[in-house]
Amino acid sequence: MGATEKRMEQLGITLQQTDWRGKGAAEAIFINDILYISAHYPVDENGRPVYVGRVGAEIDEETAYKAARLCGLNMLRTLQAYIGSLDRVDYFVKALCLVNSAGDFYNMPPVMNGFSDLMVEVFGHRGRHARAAMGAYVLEGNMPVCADAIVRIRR
Amino acid sequence: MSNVNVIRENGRETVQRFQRYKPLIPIREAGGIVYVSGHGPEDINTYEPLYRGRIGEELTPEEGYQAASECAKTLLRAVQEHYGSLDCIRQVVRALALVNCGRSFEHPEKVADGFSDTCVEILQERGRHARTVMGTRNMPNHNIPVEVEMIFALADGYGDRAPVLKSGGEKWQIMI
Repeated sequence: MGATEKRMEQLGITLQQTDWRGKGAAEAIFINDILYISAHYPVDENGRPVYVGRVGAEIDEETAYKAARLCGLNMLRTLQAYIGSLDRVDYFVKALCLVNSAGDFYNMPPVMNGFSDLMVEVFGHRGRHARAAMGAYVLEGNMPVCADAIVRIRR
Repeated sequence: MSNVNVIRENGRETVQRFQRYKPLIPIREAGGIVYVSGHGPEDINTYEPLYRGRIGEELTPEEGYQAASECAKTLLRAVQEHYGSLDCIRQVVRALALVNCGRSFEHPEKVADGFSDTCVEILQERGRHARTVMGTRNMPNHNIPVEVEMIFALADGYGDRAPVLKSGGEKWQIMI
């Protein structure tokens, strides 16, 4: 216990303990010029899913492309909130893209181009990234796609 | 204060045996960032899984949450064995959680909260991380329900280039 805490104890001041439950997953973590961004989903501004269903079953490939683009748009919003201006994006490093795939759906890369195309439209060469697109069995809330990213930020 | 005792729950002497049972190494460091292999809810010595099965089929979401919590303890134990103290963690950066899901289970993120909650309970602000959760169908080691891999930033004074391991006592600044 530090001197300040001892003094507070003498004064009879107690602080409420922080409840950390549910606070573990941050939207993004900034370390050494690199921003690690959590998975983003095709949700509206209130966090409600816009697209629900498996790609290849309830959702077709074109709709899934749009959903992937929406993931990207949500990610840009998070990026902007963390670094102020998107001009500070040095370049995208890597993205992990998951597609909630029905049994016989194998076209994950074209779907996730919805995300990648957006980044190249917005950032040009800086938006290009290494990418893994893979089929998942289940995603949060049965949404069709999600994408996370690692982005290098300028000082 | 060191966080060491918080995760010493199994109460038994543990020997560092990660290399013996896996051709993988549990930890690799590069440029102040440490990459930790995926760990499941396993006994640290025998790799015997503590939980088996899919969430929504053999296991309930609550059991899944507990299993994910065990993943956090297993991961942090691996880190602790490697660096001597959990004070080596400046900030957990990123976690990828794989959740073994049954046919109608749609909330793998609630299972992964077991990992995240345990992380922040032990490390507080330093335990917060970017997270990606993926529902899968098949998992190794007799179908464990959860597996988590982690990236963290190393605190000053730890790591390959550090001359001596510090035994702890430092408070690290909160990032962001």
